[in-house]
Amino acid sequence: MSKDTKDWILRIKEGAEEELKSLYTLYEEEFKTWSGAMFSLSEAEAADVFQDAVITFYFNVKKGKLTTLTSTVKTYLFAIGKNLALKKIRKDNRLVVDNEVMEFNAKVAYEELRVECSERQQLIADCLQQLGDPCYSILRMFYFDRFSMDSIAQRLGYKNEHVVKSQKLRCLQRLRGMLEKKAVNNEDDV
Amino acid sequence: MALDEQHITRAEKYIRDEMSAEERTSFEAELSTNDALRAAFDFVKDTEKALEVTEYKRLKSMLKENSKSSGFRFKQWLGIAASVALVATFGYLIFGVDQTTTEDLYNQYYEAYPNIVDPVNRSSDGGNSPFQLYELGNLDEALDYFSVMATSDTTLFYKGQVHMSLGNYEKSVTAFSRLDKSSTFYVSGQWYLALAHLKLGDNKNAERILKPLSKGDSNYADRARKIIESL
Repeated sequence: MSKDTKDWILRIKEGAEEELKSLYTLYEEEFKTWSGAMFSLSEAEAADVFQDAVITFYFNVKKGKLTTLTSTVKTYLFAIGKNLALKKIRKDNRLVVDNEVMEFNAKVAYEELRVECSERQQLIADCLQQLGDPCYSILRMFYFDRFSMDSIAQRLGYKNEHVVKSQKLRCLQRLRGMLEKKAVNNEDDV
Repeated sequence: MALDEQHITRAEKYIRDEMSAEERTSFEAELSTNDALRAAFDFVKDTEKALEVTEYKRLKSMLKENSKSSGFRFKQWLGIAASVALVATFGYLIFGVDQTTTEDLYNQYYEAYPNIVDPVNRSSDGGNSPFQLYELGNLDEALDYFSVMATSDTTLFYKGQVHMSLGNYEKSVTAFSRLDKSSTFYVSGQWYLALAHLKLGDNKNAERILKPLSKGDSNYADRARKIIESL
């Protein structure tokens, strides 16, 4: 594994979102040119696909599904981008008859992005938006970033991990209360 | 049904694959018979998914903004500018004044920051520190303490909070303005500083502080953007 690849994974795992922007900017133009030539994607479509490829990479690192890479980050991102582009043009019934497409055959393992959610999950997402800080940050850092309690305490300036733990429980209780209230209001609206 | 801490911890361990095979089997068996455990498990699972969806939307919008193709063509800008002008003109003609006041915005977004330094718990009597006094709403007493304590970013931040809760917005501006950029409380302090300016009707300074917040990656970014749009 190259130093570059290892660094990207470590930096993203540490939670630096600026890294995600840098990664995107670094290969955006190249991906647009490549996917435009290979799949006839418009500039906007290519940007949309590449954004999802970068977020897929980010999610896989965060969830611990991706800890090492055998290729460079660029190869990994372009391989995900290729799969997403193919999915898109198949969905739109657009034809690709360019054999060159198949030339990019880097096999990469990753978990696909699944952003569809149930009605209840969407309600919770709405409540999370209203929850505000520090609750949102605590829950995000624990469930999404998968940081330890100790790390969250340091990042948010808490006295120690025990204080974060009890605050997290209070946040969950509050979220649950908001959810129940919202669910009742929704029932009343029906 | 209140959430049980132990159920939550077990559900998290199961979801994160931190249980032994034996623990997993026993947990799965218990899920079908223990309603409280099932509720905690479903809630944790759904919250995790909801956070994933929220984060996806946030990151997508961040990258879109960062994208070189997100720049509109000049003609599109002209079109949008013309539409905005038209809507604003009609809005002004119909309503005469802005519908959302800074007071409304303040009320919509202000929420006191919790005591994360020294929370009241079962073993404390609730009056052990200025932070606990603040948490319990004994604001004057908390302020007396903060006023004699050595100044640190933590005391400054909470002093600002106490002043805000007491309605002393000018004093909260002074406290939040003194927070150093390297402080853990700097970003939160900037948020409350902007809200205090808003409350004082100083939209210009509120916007000046909200702009960098809206472009940052903190949890305040979305809310800062929304306030700027409303100003």
